[in-house]
Amino acid sequence: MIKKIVFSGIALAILLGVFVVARVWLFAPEDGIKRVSIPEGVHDPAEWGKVYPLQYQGYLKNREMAPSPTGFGGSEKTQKAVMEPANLMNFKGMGFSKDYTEDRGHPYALEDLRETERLTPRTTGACMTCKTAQIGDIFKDKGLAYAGMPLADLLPTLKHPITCSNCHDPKTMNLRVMNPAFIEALAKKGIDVLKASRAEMRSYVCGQCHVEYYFEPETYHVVFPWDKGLQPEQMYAYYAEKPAGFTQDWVHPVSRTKMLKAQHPDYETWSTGIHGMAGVACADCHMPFLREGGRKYSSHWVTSPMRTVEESCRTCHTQDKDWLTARVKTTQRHVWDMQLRAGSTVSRAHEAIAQAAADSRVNGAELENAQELLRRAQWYWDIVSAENSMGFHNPSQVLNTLGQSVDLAHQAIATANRAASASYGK
Amino acid sequence: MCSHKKTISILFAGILTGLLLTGLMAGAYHYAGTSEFCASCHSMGNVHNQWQRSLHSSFACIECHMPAANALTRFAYKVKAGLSDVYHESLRDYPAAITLSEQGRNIADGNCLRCHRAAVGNSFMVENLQGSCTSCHRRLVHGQKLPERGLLHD
Repeated sequence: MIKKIVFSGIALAILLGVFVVARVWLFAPEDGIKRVSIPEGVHDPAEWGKVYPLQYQGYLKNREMAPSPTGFGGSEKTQKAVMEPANLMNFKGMGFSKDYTEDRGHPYALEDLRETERLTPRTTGACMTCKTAQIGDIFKDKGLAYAGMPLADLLPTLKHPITCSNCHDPKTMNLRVMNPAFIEALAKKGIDVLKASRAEMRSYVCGQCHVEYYFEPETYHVVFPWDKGLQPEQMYAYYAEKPAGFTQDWVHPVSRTKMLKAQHPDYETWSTGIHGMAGVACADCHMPFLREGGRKYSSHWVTSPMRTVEESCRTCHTQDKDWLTARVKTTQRHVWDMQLRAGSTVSRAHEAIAQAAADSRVNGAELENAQELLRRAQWYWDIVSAENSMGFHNPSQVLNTLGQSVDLAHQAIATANRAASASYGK
Repeated sequence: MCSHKKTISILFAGILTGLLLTGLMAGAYHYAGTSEFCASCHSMGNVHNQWQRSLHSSFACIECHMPAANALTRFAYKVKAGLSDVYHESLRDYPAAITLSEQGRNIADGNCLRCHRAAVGNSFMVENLQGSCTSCHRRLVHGQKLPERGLLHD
């Protein structure tokens, strides 16, 4: 009996030992990801998923629609005007007052493009530059002419939204950028994107689309306003010089002001923020390394890092998850408060200018001054409001930009009032 | 006479086996203290790479991570820490950011001071220590930027 117990004990210990040795040393988890080429022109993520299942599973999670963990942003298609009613006044007379939603994940890029109320019969191919993995093929086939073609003619040929091949060379799996406008913008700054390091590419692949841009009149070429720098003031100064004859995105019907519409300057905002300056790439936080059975791979669920605080933040920051989350929420609450103040003050400036303009004896020169102040005020509000981090990408700069917006909007209101009241003295 | 001889040979065989086993155990215990052995665990690959490039690369892992105490305490700690490592390494459930336990941190702090006490012993850093040495002296050994390399390989 005792013999039996002793023997089974020894057998168990040996088995356990064999198991441990096998798991830890003999069959240690593979390090890294084995390179397998995919033929050029295959844009269906399911095809790539056959050889890169871990990454594909992550990509599929981009379909998830959920509110943001911090309460700002999120991947549900909700109208931004619900939380920020000033949008309705500030974008009056253009598409963004009709339809301006929180953005869903990359797999929805094409669907959302087809569905948006912002489309008109005059919408051109430039709008799909960042909506499909097929942009490379289209660019190769049609050159820059695609940008000026009617979007309605191009849409039926588009099958794939933003997928693997937007960022990966199918042969080498190395990171690559596709957007011709981004390559051109970097070239103008003297940067050859083909010579970029892997660390730089981990931000460039995102920066090729998550940026501020405008369409050149006539040609509809997508151009990034980066010649003077990437900060809001520098981009505004660039637009002030009317590049390629571009003067405005639209004329506001209430204030008769030539307005600019800011796009999502995530890359620019990050680049001068503390993380950007310290060399932390977009992918470091938004696509952190995860482990599956000990094996390391990058997350391809491109979402708020607040869903992966452990992997995204804590690999550098030593504080715990709750502490870090609370810091982010504090930053975002401060920015949200200022953004609301800026947006509503800008709205009131539109009205003040309309009121002044209605006066037949209004001082025309003063009114124009007010309109220029308003144009700037709205730009400074919009460049923050349109950005996707509620200030987190660069808290101090964003709060400064919003502060300028509030100040300029008040100046616009005062100048408009002066323009109107000036006439009473005469 | 015959049985006497047998007893002696059994005794010798026993002593020899005992010596051999002791030698083996001592060898294994010693080998388990090398940085090379630490790095043989998959979860330690990253920190090992970083340590190799750090200014403390001439010191083995255990010089910071084992308590500077008597042999028995060290042995007990090694068994405890080793069992935990074996458990998580086998289950492969270790987190992305591996952090020190409170005990582990105290041990590391003690080892910092083992060498640096002469320099900082009379300063606020030791007299009124807030947190631990690595609260300020972060990325000294682990956590610096790695040289550029991705996960892809052929």
